[in-house]
Amino acid sequence: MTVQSITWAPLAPVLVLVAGLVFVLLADLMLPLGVRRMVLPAVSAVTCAGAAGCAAWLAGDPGLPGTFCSAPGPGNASRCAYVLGETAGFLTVVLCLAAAAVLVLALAQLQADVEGVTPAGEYCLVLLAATIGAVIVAGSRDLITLLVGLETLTVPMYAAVAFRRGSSAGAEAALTLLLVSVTSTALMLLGIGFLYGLTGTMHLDALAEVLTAGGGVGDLALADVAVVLLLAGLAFKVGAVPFHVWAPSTYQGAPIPVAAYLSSASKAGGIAGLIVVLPAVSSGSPAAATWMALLAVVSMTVGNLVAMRQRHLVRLLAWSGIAQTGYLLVGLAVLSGRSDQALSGAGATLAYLAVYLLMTVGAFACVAAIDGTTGTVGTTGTTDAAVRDGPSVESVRGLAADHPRIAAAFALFLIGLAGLPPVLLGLFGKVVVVRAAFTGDAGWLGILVALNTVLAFVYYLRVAAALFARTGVAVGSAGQLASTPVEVAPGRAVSSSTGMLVAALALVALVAGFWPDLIIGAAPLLSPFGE
Amino acid sequence: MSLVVLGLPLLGCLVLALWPRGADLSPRIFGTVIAAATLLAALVMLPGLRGDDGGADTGRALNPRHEVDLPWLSVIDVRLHLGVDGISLPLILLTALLTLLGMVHNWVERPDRPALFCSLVLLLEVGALGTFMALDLVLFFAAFEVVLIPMYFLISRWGGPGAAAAALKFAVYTLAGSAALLIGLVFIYASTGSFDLVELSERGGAGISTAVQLAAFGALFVGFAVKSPLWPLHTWLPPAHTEAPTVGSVLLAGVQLKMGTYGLVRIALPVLPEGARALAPILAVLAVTGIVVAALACYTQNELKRLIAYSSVGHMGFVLLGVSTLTTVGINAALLANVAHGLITGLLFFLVGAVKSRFHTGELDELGSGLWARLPRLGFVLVFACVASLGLPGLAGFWGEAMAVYAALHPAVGLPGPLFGVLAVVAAAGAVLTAVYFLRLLRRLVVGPVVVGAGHRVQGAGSRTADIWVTERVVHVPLLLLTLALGLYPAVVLGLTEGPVAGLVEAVLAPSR
Repeated sequence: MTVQSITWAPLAPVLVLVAGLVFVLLADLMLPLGVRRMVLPAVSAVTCAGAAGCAAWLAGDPGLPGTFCSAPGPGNASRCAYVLGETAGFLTVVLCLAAAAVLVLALAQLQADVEGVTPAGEYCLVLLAATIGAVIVAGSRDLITLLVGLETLTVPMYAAVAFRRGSSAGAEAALTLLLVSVTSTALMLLGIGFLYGLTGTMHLDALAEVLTAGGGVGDLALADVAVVLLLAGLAFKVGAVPFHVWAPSTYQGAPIPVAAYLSSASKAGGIAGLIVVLPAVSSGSPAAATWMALLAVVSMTVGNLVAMRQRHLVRLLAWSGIAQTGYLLVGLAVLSGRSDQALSGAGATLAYLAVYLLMTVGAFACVAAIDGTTGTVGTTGTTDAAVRDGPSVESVRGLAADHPRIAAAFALFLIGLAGLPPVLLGLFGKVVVVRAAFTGDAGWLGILVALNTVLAFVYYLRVAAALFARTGVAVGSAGQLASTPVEVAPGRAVSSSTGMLVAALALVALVAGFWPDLIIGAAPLLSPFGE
Repeated sequence: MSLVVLGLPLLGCLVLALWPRGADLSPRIFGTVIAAATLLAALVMLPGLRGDDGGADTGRALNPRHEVDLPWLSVIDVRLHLGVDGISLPLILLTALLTLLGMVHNWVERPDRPALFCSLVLLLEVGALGTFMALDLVLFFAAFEVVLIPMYFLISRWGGPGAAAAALKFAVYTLAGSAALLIGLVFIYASTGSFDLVELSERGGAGISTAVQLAAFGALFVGFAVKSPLWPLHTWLPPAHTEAPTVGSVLLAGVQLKMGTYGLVRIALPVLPEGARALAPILAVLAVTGIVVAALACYTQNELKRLIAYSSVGHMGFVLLGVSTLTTVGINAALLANVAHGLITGLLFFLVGAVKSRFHTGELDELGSGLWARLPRLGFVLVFACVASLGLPGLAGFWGEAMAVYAALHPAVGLPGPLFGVLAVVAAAGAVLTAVYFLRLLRRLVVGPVVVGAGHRVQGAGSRTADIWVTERVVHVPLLLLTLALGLYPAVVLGLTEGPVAGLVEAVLAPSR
């Protein structure tokens, strides 16, 4: 049995997160409740930001070795299970920053939760653990590491989703997620098993070599089946149609920060898995590109069409997230074929991922701010569905009159998700994806993205317009009867940490619109023309 | 200087967005100052271009001045490339002028939430100016789309009773057109590897296969057709104009509609000349159909704003007819008609806004008649504007229409002469129909015996005080004078456009290429 060599340097982001996790575990036992509610999420957020910083610093170093490497055999290079390359570094940075933002939202939720219903330590623990899993996925170079990372990303989320105590929606959401995830993991394991049986190796580079060897196992139908199973497992994670059925009810049943996490870091972990796996397996199986394209198109279209019917904000964002997954998959659909174009497809996905994470975390942050109670069940004891399920499009009507800045930020993030100016960052994200489709000889995909942008605009605009709608006659006339339905938690001010997070994210989105190289230009693998 | 012209309204927009809520006078003053400064900055660019022969001697298709070329999104070859030439400067000046007059109009009719209102108007201006100055395809597209959101909010929040639906229709329709536009632009990029307009104009379609040119031109055509608007993609315009507030209508008609035709001349023609030659007849047929259909629709309209909206469709039909001829005369006619339409229809919408604010209705049935007798000054300006719009010689509208018809009689070599000849005759007939409906409007509303309609008058105002105020005069007079000046001396605009258009036609559209 060969012992793998361990180099600790590339694991620095993971180690930082683990250190944070251990600290949270211990501090949870020792600190009193009031202090716990603030310190633990704050420390977790700082940990994630620190991990992002480590990754940013390390990933730029081309000489950084991999870790968990097997000894080089005769004629083989040394195979490393975890490599913090440029792509992995970029993914780690955006993942950890998204997780940090979500933890700030969790901070606000825990602070509003005066009875201590939600356990602070466990809450931060699960989110940190999931982030560790996502970071492992981003850097994994063999299938077992990938699987371990994905499981680490998924299992804590069962608990996180169920943190909405006192309501059946939370338990139901957690159960849905559990059953669907277990099924998808089983499928993926089957696929991995087939691949191992065919090629005799788990490592992705070796896998690619064996699959592309002419006349070899890559031509067998079993290889195609294995690839499809593997992709199906990953597609559950990103919520692509038709593996998306868990998403809307899970998002709605979970606390809002957890829904934000599912929509951002968890999805990014799935995309990371796809970016890691696809170049290796699609070289042997051109069907993979077709499958990706199909998933992309169906996700975009179904996601946008169903989102148009949604009234509840979290559910609407869930369905819009499914459509956004479609846009993310477009870049991955042009991966097979010429290697220079292939890279630009993955680069387009990375760039769009960064834009998407920013906008979606911002949107959820605004929903959390609007919700007032930031995620727990609304006014206790009520059975009114509108209140219990959180803010809806009707309940935010005319929000700009009372909370102009939150409304403006929310509109900004929605328009960014739609991909329109004046939020130029969203527009550039879409342009990058469409360009990748056209230069990857899949112009029809680009056309579909453009058409879906029009579809999506309808519901994004509906929410943004409702925010600024006039609710009645002149502002400030006394005795004004508001005809809005029951508001959640009337009179509760927006929590300061949520407000600051929203402001920071909005500022970044605006500034990066005028200086897009800041975010989009940072994505590796973007240009196909020899850069 | 290009950056100054673009940056001033952008800065103003951001500052106004953060203005404290309750302020009423200060945001309007600030907005007016910014708009005035932008106009001055644009005027500063004028001397550099006078007598510019647009590179007709150098043979370049595009010869911009005041160029700014900075890397922007370098990973996909997008640059912040701005520039001005004789084709874009008249439109830039028109935009700046109409925005300034719109800001001044805030004293005539105070909007609620003035800071937000002015901020959105300035954002609109940024989008329009960006479109006219952009020399990079993605920058053009971004600026082209920037105007969508502010106009949506201007219509839906400050508009009439049916504003929400009209604004949504406008937004989704325009966005669909923009989606087609994006596809066309990326298609061009995929074939040539460049987003830069100067470079693409130089190429003049070399290296792009005819099939790709046709497809890309078709996509661009749809996008610009929705914006222009070209019949039959015009149905978003009448509701949007009817429900929009006065300033919104003026900017929609005077600025936004120009962006579509400008895009055709600036991008679609030079970059895809073969596609242009193939699809020009279709463009011409649709344009002339638009002229006639709009004129007939106008004849039956009973609501003022809707009538003027349809008349816009007709005028833009003349512009597009001029463009479709692919000759120097035709394109000059189009650009001149563009500017003239902006001035005249802008003036018309200001006047209709004045009527609506006095009588609280735009329905001809409720307005009564004999406006000239009741409100002599308003009546006079209304007559002037209507007469200018129908194309009376001596006023701005005449030259564009006449030259467009003339150009259609002599289209570019390679275009079907007989078809264009027929279209020219039909267009001329359309011009007569335009006169018919405007004269009907005047007869019904302005001249004739005084009949007080059902629409109630402004409370407590005698006929004198309800007539044009000084502030309104400040808004109307510049447009009046410019319409007269342009009508008597079209070289004001043609002097600027002639050179670059000659360069464009020679370098790109000449059939020898």
